[in-house]
Amino acid sequence: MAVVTLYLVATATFILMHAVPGNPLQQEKAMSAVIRQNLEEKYGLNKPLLQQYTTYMSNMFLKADFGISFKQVNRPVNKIIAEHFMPSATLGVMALFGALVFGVILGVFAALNRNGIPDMFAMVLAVLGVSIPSFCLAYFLQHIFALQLGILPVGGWGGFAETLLPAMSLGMIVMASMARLMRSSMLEVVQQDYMKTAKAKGLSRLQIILKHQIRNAVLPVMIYFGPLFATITTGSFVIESIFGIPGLGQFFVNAVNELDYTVIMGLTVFYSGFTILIILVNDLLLAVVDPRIRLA
Amino acid sequence: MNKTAAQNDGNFNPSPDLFVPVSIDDQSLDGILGRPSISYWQDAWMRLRRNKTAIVSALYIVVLSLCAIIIPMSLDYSHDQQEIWNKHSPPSFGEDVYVDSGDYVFQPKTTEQVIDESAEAAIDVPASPKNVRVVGEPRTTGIEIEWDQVSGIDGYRVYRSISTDTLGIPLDDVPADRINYFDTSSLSKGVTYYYVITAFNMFGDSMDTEILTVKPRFAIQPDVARAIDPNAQPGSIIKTKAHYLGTDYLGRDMLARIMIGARVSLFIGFAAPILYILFGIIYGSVSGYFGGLVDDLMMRITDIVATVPELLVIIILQVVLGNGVTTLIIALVAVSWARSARQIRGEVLRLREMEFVHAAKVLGTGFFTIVARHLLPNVMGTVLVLLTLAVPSAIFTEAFLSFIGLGIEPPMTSWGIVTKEGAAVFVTYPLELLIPSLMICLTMLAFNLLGDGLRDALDPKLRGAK
Amino acid sequence: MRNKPIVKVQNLTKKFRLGRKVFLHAVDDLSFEINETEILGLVGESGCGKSTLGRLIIKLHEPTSGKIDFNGTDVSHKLSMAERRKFSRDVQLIFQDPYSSLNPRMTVKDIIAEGPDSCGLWKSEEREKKVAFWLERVGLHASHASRYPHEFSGGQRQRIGIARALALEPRLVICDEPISALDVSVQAQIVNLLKELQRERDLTYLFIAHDLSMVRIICDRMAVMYLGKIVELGTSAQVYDNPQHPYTKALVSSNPIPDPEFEQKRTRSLIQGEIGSPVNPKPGCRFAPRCPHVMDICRTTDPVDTKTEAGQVVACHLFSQKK
Repeated sequence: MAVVTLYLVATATFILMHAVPGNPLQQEKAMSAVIRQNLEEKYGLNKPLLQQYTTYMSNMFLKADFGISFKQVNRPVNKIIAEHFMPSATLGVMALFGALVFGVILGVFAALNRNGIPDMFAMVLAVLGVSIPSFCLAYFLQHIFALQLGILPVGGWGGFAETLLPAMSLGMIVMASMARLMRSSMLEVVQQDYMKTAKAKGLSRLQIILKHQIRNAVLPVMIYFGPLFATITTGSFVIESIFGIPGLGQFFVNAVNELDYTVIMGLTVFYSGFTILIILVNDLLLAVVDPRIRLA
Repeated sequence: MNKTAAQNDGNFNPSPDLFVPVSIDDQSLDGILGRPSISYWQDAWMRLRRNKTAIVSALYIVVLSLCAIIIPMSLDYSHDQQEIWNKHSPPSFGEDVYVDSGDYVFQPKTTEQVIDESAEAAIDVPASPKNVRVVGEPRTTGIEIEWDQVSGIDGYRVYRSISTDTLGIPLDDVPADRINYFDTSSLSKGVTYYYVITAFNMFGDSMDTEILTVKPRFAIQPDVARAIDPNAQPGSIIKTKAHYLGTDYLGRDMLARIMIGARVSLFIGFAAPILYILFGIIYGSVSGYFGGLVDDLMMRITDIVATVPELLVIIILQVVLGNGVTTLIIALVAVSWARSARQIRGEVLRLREMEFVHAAKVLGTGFFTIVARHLLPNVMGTVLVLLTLAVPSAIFTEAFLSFIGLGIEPPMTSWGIVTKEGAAVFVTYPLELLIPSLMICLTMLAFNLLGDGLRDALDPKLRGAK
Repeated sequence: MRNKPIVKVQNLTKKFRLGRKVFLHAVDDLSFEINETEILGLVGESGCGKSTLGRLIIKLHEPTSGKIDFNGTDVSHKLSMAERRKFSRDVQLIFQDPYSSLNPRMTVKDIIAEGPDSCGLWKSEEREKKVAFWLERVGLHASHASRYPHEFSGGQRQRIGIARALALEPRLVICDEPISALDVSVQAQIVNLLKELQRERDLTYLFIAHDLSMVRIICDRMAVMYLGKIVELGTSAQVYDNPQHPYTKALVSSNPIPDPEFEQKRTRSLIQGEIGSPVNPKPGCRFAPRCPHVMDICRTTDPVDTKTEAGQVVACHLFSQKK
């Protein structure tokens, strides 16, 4: 299934890219005729579409070669990905991790203190988190923490401090969604009969919460991990621009603005592949955690 | 012996004549014997009404929509009308501005270069010009500066800054025989300018320069003034148009831009979800109702479409199809229909197995009547919630795309574009980012709260709960 | 004196496809008749196929093979809309679950009138009167017409379901476990109502249930099903008081009698094992794996229906052997 999807995405991207009229190289006026001819040769831009397609596909899937960026001559897309993947990945992981952990904790606390102050506080935070776009939040945080209070750097990339604000901006929406999902899941679980059984057995409140409630409540929430991951990936485009982080997201945005086709295609397929991979991992994780799914 | 409420004095002994038999036909008992008969929708509406946040949100949305329609029509300028002379203006009801006479012609003043034969050739940067002063009243239409001549130089350079910390930008180089300069380049009101005039030779600019502090008076040329008030006379003071939320970097009214942006964002926010949910209803109903192979095949397609990362596809589609509202809506629909189709199909599957659908078949009810009477009304609840929660997502996506540079094309504007423009000057003019951000946040918040309220109101488990 | 049959079922089979070569035999080669104005009971464990049989007769399912005859007309094929409308005037179904069988969005009036509306049975002037009539007839009140299902108790909802089924004035009513979801005291009320209506209107019932003693009381004849086959068929008295088939014997003996002394003295015939699976059943008698009297032939050949002198029909090798 996943492979089929990836294949379709690659094909669709290819078709779309070539639906735009004109040879991408034509826009590059500063290129000498010789270089242009060489590049056209190499990427078979003069050859019929079908041949281009097969070359492209075989390059991509067999050699993992996404081609060369048109705008930055002689810079292979693979190299771009390799160089800039780390910051994006680090940022993504931090944001995701923080969001999940804090989101779950927040949701659990809200559910345990239902209708109390922590619950209201958590839910207000959650609703706000879902409603404030990440880029607005980014500027807001930047203004307060970097400009006014000066305790965190405005941007750039280097140490732990630089990752905090971007990760927060990125992860807020995920954290908020998590908190709400977790809370409602916990409340649903609490009504189940096995909770009453646990209490009747004499387990302490903490034990019940840890062993039964949280474990069962996390399950329906885990299903959403995949889409939430996608949110983080795409959100990174903007966040990286705002904080000046040299990651893939920024590259993607630039490529889009400059219409650098190979980069766009390559990054799209790369991102799609990555997302699909994460979804697969998520499914496997679900199967490990939830014995009911294992049998299916 | 336990005491009950009726026996709180232990002496309550009801007698038979306190009780009167009642007939089941007695209409006056309708509200007392039982709850008044209400349908599912009425019950949901009542519960929604009690949810104050949801009602406030709904009101906000209605008010916003009305404003978006009415306000741009009642303002006497459009959203892309530029008043360059009035850029980055804070919110106001109109400010006093002086109408220049408009007939001022700058007269360059030159001096005879006194060449001192005996003077040695320069071996260092020249001395800075002294007595740098303003000629006449400095206005935002033009500031004239004069200084004392320095001899033996190649020329003068005029720098202008808005702070005393930096030298500022070099406005122009002036020939060595000139001793005055007229600055007209985008002077803003309310800003204090700091001029530095240096003399330069082949060794560079003079050091230890004086700083001239100038606070120009807010003024405009007569033709510009007449655009505001046709009867404006040179030399008089008129009021600028009111800019209730200020202006942006091109002097465009923020309120107008926000309201037009509201139109665009709300339009996309409603149109795209309605379209793709509608499609999802048709697709999901067909798939769920017929089941079997048809359902399998249709769901396979949905799976593939749903797995693809949404925003990526939207971005690609935008790149290929070009920017604009229609392509954005097409992209949004193409990408989001799969998820809603899936959910609706789930609902239809659940409903199809409900006995009352079987009963309808057995009673001889036709296919379309079954769909209309039995399936659709029960699906509507889910659909409504889906809709209200899809809107903030669409608004966010539009803002996000416009922020990156895709999305809407100027001169049309949207909240995303206004946010982007505001972000560029965020440090110096925070209001220009704050306002559109606030609008986006509030609107998304309102739809989210309304959606939550609807979901709670339509949840049958909570029926009758206070 | 036997009435003529209103429904004739011949070699009726219904298989549900679960996989490429996996079939669930819900109803397997069934042949029987329902006579006019009789109440035929159909009992068996959950999963024995009795509901499926009921739905086959009312054409909610299509048979995989076999014939169904209603009143002389062959209805084995898929009905067209016109045929369906005509058919629904003759055969109706009362559903088991009073909670999911009424559309929560419709008023009681619309629910009851749905059939006549679809078939054009009532003129618009008489609609309200007719609804009121039926409401009263099933023991509710005319003022209930404008209310919604959620305002009624389970027993009341079932009455609404009965009114809905009878509004079309059918001749045959299939009652699919109409009382299983109700409290015991309410069960008696509903059953009495059904009996009254049957007497009044000369209706024929196919009464599907799993409560043997109830079936004994109401039904004229009783059929016992096991894993898609009818194992015994006879008058209620015959089947209940004098069961022939080993399965029926076990079923009857497991029925509690509210007399503690009798219960203590009673010998039960117990059956071993779990109920078999109707999926891809092996050849031979379905009951063979659990039967205390199993013989070799039982595992290889399907038993044929044999009639005893009393007129009971049993499908068991014990009886066909004796011939």
